[in-house]
Amino acid sequence: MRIRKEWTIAGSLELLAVALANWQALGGIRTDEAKYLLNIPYPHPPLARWIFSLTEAFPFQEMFWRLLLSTLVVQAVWIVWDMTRKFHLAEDRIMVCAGWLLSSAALTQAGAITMAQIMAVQTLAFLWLRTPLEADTGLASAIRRRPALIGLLWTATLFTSYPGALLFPIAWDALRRSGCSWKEMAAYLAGPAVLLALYTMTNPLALAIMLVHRNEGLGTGIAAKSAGFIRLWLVGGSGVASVAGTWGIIAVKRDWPLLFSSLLVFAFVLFSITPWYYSILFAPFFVGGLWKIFHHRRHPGAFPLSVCMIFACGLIVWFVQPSRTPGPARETMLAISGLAPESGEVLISGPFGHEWQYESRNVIRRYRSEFAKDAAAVVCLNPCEPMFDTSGWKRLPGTPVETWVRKRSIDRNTPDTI
Amino acid sequence: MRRRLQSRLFLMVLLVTGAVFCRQAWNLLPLFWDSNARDAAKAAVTAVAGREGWLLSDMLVNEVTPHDVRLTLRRHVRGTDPESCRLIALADFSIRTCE
Repeated sequence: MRIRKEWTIAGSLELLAVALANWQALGGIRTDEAKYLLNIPYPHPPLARWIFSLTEAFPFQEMFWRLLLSTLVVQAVWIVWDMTRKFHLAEDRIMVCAGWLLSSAALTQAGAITMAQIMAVQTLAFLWLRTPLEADTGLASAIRRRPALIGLLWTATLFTSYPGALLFPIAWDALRRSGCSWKEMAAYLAGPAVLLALYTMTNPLALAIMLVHRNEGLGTGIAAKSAGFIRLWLVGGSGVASVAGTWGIIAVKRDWPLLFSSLLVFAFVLFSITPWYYSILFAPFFVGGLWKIFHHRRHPGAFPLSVCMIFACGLIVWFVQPSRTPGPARETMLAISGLAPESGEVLISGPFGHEWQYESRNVIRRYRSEFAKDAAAVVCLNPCEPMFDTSGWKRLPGTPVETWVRKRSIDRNTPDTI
Repeated sequence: MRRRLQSRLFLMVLLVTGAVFCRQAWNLLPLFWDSNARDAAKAAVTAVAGREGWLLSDMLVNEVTPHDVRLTLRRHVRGTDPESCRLIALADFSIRTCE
C-alpha cells in the first residue's frame, strides 16, 4: 500500500518534471545551454558538459537533457523526504519538502540546461549525507560506510562547476560523520581539489573568462549587486523559505559547516554577475535551514507556513517565469539548412551567442566580406560591412534577421516541380 | 581494511588523471610564469581569431614556445566537430598546420 502511494507520488512528480521541461523548451536554446550541450570548453570543468556532448548525435538532445535535468530537480525532493524521516509530524516534513519543491527557482529552472541546478542537487546530497541517522539502515547510511563514494561525489561536484568548491565545509562534515581519519579526509577532499587546479592550468580560456567575469562582477555597483542578490534570494526560497531558511541557518543551534558553506555561496552570488539561474543555489541551503527549525523544536506553524509558501511561490513564479519567445537563431538556421549545402560555412556579422552554433548544421565563422566566396550562407545580425558582392546570392524572405544564401544552392536544393 | 583499499584506489585514479593533466599543463607553463609569453600568446591568438573569423572558444591552446603557439582548432557543431592542429608564429602571426 505504502509502495503504491510512493509510486503514485513519483509519477505525479514526473508529470510535473515533464511540464517544466516543456515550459523551458518554449524559449528555445539559450547561449549557455548551447555551450554546455556542444562541450565548448569554458568556463566550467568538463564532467557534465562532456556527458552532455556524448548525446550530440541525438536529434532530440536538447529535450532529452531538459527532461533528465528537470526530473533530477523534481525527484530530488525524495532526498529531502529522507532527510526528515525522524520528524514526528507529517506537516513538518511536508514544509521542509516544500522548501525545495515550491522554491520558485526550482520550478522556473528545472528544465533549463545549466550547471546551477546540478550543483543545487549536489548540495542537497551533501546535506542528506550529513543528516544524523537513527539506525544503521537506508541508502544514506550505506553511502556513509563507504567514504570513497562521498569522495567521488565531491570530485563530481568540483568537476561539474567551479562554485562547487564552496561546498567544501559540508563535504568535509559529511566525511567526518562517516568516521574518516584526518588522512583519509585530506585525500578525499584535497586530492580532487588539486586535480581541478591542474585541469584549470590546461585550459587557459576558462581562466581568462573567469577573470573577465570577476572584473564584471566587481565592477557593478553595490546597490545593483544587492538588488540582484535580494531578487535571487527571494526567488530561491519563494520568500517564505528564504526568510525561514536563512533564520534557521543563522539562529537555530549553530551548525558551522552549513553556515560556512551557505555564507560562501551567498557571497559568491553577491559578488558575481548574478545571472538568473543562480537563484537555485540558495534552495538547498534554505532546506537545510528549515530542517534545523523543524528538527530542533516542535513547530506549530508548519501548516500555515506551507499555505503561505504555496501562494508566495505562485506569485513569484508568475513574475519570473522563463521566456517563451525563442531567439532568431533556430528559425534562421532552419531556413538556411533547407537551402545551403552542409559543406560550406555560415558567416555571421555582429555579436552572437553559442545558440547559433547549436542550431547550425554548418561551421560558423565571423563575417568578413572576403570569406563570402567560400561561404554557404551569410547572416547579418549587424549590418554586413563592407557588404559582399551579392550577385549569385539570394536574400531569404521571412527570416527574423537579414540572411543570404547562395543562389546555386537554392537551385540545387529546391525540388523540381512536376 | 576495505576502507583503506577504497581510499588507495581513489588516490590511484586521481594520480593517473593528475599525471595526464600535469603533462598538458607543462606545455602551457610559460603562460603562467612569463608575462611576456602570456602577452605574446594572447596577442597572437586574438589577432588570428580576428583575421580568420575563428571563434576564440573554438581555439584550444595546447603549447606555448618562444617561437609559436600550438592550438587545436575545434569547430563546434552538432555531431562530430571538425578538428585540426595549427601553429601560430609569434613573430608574424602566420599560420601553418602542425606536422
